[in-house]
Amino acid sequence: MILILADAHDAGALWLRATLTPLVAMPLVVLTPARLVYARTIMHHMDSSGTHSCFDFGDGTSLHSSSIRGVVNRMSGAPTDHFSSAEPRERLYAASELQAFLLGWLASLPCPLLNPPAPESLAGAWHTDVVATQLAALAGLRCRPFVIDADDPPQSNSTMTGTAHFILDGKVIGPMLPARDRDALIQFAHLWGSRLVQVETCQEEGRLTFLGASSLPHYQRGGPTLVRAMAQVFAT
Amino acid sequence: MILILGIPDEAPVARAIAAAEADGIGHLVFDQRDHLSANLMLTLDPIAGWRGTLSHPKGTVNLASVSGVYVRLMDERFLPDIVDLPADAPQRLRSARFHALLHDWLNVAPIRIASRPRAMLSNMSKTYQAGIIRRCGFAIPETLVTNDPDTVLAFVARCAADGDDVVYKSVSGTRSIVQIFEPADRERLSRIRWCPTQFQRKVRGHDVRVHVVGKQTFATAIRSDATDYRYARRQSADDAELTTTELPPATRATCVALSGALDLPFTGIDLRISPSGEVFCFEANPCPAYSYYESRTGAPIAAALTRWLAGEK
Repeated sequence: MILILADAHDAGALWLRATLTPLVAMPLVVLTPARLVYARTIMHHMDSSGTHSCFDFGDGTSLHSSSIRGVVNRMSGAPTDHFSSAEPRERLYAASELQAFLLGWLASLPCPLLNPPAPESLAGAWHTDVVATQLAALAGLRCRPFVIDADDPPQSNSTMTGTAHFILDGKVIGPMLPARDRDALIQFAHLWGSRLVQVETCQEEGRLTFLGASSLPHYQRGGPTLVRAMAQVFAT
Repeated sequence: MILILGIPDEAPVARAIAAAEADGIGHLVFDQRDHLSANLMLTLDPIAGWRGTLSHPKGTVNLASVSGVYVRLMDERFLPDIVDLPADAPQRLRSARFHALLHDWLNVAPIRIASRPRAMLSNMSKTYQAGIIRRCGFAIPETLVTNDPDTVLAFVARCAADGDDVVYKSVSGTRSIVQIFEPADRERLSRIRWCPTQFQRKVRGHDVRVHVVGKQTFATAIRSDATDYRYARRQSADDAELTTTELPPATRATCVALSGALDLPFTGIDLRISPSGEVFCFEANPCPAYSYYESRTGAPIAAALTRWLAGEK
């Protein structure tokens, strides 16, 4: 099966399930972080030869790591409501333990993940605007000049909307671009560190100008071309 | 010039400062306790990336003049002048902005950094890091993370049948004391229902701590009867005995490879060598308190660190 790990109210995940289902020859299941965390039993075993894991749910079903053929990972956090009555120090400890477990579990799955988790975010590589801008400059994208200091924080770029391109395993999906700009986007995605990255740009001074990027893409904007490319990842 | 970030009288920082002074390496110490009066200003250069200055009570540093940075920053939320302030106090918020910006620069500066804050995060999950450790070629201990008491008891019984104990410890980077699972622990085992907990087959053998600095390694053998030698006095009444040791070239190379895979050019790797010679790795510490080992063995770790930051190959 292919898992879409996402919150129950994640409209993008539900849209993706509907659009991706006809393109993949296996069941596609939306699994919420709450269902994972509140599983009746959780077992994750690792040694020098490999890793396997199993979740047994309250309704009698199970999820074995060996049965997962692909993951669309939109899990940005884990529920911690069940720790709410604990003392603040224990609550923080338990929350960090849970986060650590989920990071280790996701990273151990031997199937394709879009995207693999990263220590800074379960949903995949994530960078601040300052770092993202540096990566964009290194990749050859034009960046808007700015100056920042601790008393004058920048406005976040992450919500800026321009033209969206999606870079998946080194392929650019979106409006046609000159080869130089396409190569810059591919290089940016490589530096960013996720298999699938959405990059927002605009045209300024005649050049493709970086606005922001995310490991949690807006699939609808990528449309059928993006979804077909994702299906290909899970087919291989 | 190298930049040393931390609390100057904390032992690892103090040793790095002393090593830089002894070698005549130009250095500047940023005392983290000056965080409220310090500032970092960054300007984006379209070609060179971020450029800027770090201002603090003793002066202003042009970041372009810095060749390397030793990062030994404590969690700013616990700095003494703000720890008791409410979460929304202006000083707290300002300190958070300053540290976030400092981390941003450390994450992207095209110079030697020991180590970048983002790379240090891999230690937040021992099972995540264990996957990388295994890919680099080290053995890892048999590990179970579960919320099911029956699964734990079956694991304990299986290990006991082989004559092995089971230990438990945190999965996250939160420091915990490694403890042997004792019969008395069965009574409170039901508490793991609330959160998956990590159990490990105890590996027999002797501990070795390896500090990697760039491509150099410094190995320390540890003799202790304690389950967790860091707490030897508490667990076995005797202090741990530390001596320098030589590792086979292949093990040294794997340590350097692991340091590279984790992007931690300065790291403290915890190994245990089994009686059969198999090398198990427990974790790689991203900001090692090397002073504990250096002070007992005389291994020149601080000198290697400051020389590496100054550009030595």
